[in-house]
Amino acid sequence: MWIYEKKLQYPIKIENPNPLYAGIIVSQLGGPDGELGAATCYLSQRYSMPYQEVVGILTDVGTEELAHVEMISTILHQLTRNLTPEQIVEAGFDKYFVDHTVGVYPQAAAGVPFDAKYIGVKGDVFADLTEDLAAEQKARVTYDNLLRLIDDPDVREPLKFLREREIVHFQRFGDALRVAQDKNDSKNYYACNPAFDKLARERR
Amino acid sequence: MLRLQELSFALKETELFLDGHPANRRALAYYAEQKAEYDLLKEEYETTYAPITPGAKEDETEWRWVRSPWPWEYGFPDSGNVAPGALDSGEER
Repeated sequence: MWIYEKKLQYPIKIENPNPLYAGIIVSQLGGPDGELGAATCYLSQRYSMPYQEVVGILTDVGTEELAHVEMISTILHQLTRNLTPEQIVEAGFDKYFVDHTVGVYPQAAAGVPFDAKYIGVKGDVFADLTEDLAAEQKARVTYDNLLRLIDDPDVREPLKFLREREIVHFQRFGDALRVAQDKNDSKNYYACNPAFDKLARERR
Repeated sequence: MLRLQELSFALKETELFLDGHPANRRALAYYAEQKAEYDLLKEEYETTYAPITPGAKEDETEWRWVRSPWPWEYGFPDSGNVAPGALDSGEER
């Protein structure tokens, strides 16, 4: 079960609205490597994960990703305040606007709505953890790309914080992978899927 | 755990009602009453059995958060009803 905390993980106070920025940052909400996908992925992988420490990491990273969904949504909201129709058209935000006004909707920068196809739950310890390591790297690259396109320090600071978190999560998933490797046959990690095969459970 | 679930459900129901009726005194009094019992029982549960949130009633030797069954494993630490084949304790490598 979850409890909501009425605070952001990192302060966000954007002075100047900018719909162009909103149109690209939205990818970190509902894009292929966005925070919503990350949260859904890690929290869903927990059920077939046989190791306590790894379930702890999936739970706590997945929960933090929900806080990142809120941070990205806050950035989108603040970037789209008090806009005129002219500003919206000028920034190319018109296509988003016509469907969602200035509501926060999870989609990729190119306009594709959020899709569970972006996430991976294979039900295999090593496949899932490797998926998570890659997901953190891909999200880090997306933040790198956003930081290449964005000048406003009010927007950059929270994005830099989120980028750092991707790196830390990558390291923690590295810990998770090490825990899983330590519990399996070091000569052949793939001798079985410890999330499924009975033999492996008995051997544990 | 069952009593904790009952109390937290009562709190959730009252929260939702109070969101729409923030000045309802009867609901406020009911919430306070349930909350007091919940807080007391939660403290007792986390001390005796296992943390419900990470960092609750931790000790100096081990991070207890990852040393108790997860909610989908057919039981809670106080029910003695954890399914066989439940998660690795971490020690028996």
